[in-house]
Amino acid sequence: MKKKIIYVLLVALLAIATLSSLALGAFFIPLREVLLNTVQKFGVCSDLPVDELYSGIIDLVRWPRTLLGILVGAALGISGAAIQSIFRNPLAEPGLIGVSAGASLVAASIIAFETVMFATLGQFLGHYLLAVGAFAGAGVATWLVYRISLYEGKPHIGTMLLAGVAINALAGSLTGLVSFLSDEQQLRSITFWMLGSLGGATWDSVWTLFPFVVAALVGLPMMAKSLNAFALGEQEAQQLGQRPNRIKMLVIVLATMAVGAAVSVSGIIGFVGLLVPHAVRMLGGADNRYVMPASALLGALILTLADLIARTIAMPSEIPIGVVTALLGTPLFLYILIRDKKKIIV
Amino acid sequence: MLVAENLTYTIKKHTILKGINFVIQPGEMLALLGANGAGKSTLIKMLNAEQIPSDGKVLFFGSDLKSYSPVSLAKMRATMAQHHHVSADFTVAEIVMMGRYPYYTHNPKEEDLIVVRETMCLCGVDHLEQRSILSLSGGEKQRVHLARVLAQLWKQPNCLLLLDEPISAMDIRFQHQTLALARALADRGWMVVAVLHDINLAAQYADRLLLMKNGRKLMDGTPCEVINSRNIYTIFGIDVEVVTHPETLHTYIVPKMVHVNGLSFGMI
Repeated sequence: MKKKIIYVLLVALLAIATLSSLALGAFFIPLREVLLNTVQKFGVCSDLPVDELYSGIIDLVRWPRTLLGILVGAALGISGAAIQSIFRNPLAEPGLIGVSAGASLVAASIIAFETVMFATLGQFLGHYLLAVGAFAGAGVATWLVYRISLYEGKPHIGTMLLAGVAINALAGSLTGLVSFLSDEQQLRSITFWMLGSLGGATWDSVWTLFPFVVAALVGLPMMAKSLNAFALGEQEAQQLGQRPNRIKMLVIVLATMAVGAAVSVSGIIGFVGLLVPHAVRMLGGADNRYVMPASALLGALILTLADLIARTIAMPSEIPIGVVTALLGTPLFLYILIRDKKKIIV
Repeated sequence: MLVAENLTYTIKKHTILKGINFVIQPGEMLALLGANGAGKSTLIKMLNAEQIPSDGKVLFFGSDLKSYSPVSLAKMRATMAQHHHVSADFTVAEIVMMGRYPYYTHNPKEEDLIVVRETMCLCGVDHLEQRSILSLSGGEKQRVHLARVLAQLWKQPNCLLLLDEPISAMDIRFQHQTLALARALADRGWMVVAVLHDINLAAQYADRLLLMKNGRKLMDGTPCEVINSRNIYTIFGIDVEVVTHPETLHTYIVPKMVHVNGLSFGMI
């Protein structure tokens, strides 16, 4: 019952945030136009008197950006919940297994050395170079962490944690080196990329991200029961008829794909993957059948709101969304933490 | 029926278990006794398919344990491990419901809810239902996990229940309650294997005791066959007096002397 209320609340808030995100920005669009456009978009009726200028902005700018925020937020939230479950560690997040660090290293390298090293590749991929490169970087780093953690053919979680820390440190120092070698303008681009932004949203980026996020949104909740059993320990999960090694591999593949794809279009957005699942658990318990969908919803909600603030608070310029997620989310999280402290500590 | 054939487990040239043979019939409760590090928990892990023996095999109703699928095995054998560390803030009811995971895909059936309720009542944790598992005392946690393990096999035929020090944190009432429950389940046809440290409790509830020393089987027999001061000295290095209770005829031991590094300490 409590969980149903949370779901309804999250969905309602997400709908409000979505409409606000469509209406607000450098150019204000009346809510009536937003609603008309939305109704028409979902094909309910097609001959509504919509304003050409408004619908142009909504279609080409606001919808892609809003949807991208929802997809990225959902990907980060649900992956965070799943990764914390397989690591049996509340401090785990997708970044821990190298996703963000690998993506950052490649992205920084491309920004700094594009003209020197990636020129040919750049001709093929055009402005997708950065996204494709970041996705590849995320994949390679995670694959390395996963390979190192294999012991007798099975991923060992403790080793994976340490390998993740090491690969993160290595990639971090190399990113530092790249930053050191880049000029002022490139340094600014690298910093902004690493703080995240949904500014580059287009329908293309939405459709590219879509399958990766949907795979995670469908696949991860199907493993909810197995991930609950992981809380007892891998051996116990095995005694309950689960296949821990298969689950670990599937979670890592799905989470890396979703987060890697998200990072490649939006840059690094911290906080969401780590804290959203915690907030969700504090509100309605640890059952992953609830935690995963709710984390996706809350992640989407927080990112939509954060982006709305990022692009309206200092109009006409934008501040990085990573800054906003931390500024907006941390006080909220700390409030819940302080309120429920007793429950967590005992 | 469970048959252990020449079970041997070697890891990095250390032999943990060596040539262990025994048979358990449905309806029997077997207690494993031995000093710390004798290989009792490792033996349990061979019997529940958690680890694969280096040599020898376990036959479970005639087929090698390896040939069972994880889910079909999960409906026939359950293990209560020695240590439990739950990493998330689940409620007691949620933890016990995990025992029913082999029986449903996404949402528990009516049957599962009934079983969970029954086993929680049996283990005396029904009043803790909505409490967080992390907030319970050690003995309460053990009872919750016992309820979970029982829920996993409830109403199933041909079960094997493995208990690794199931009562180590319980008070005396729940120690007896738990072992009496295990005894009753054995009487209904389950096979029960329990690692116990209290020889008197083992003698009181188990049909047979298997004594282990340094990874080998020393003896296997009824309590009155295997409990004598010589065997106890061989395994634990303490002098005991063996007494038979005048009414129940159960065998009891009363420690007399313990030896530490050549020094002897009296216990009376």
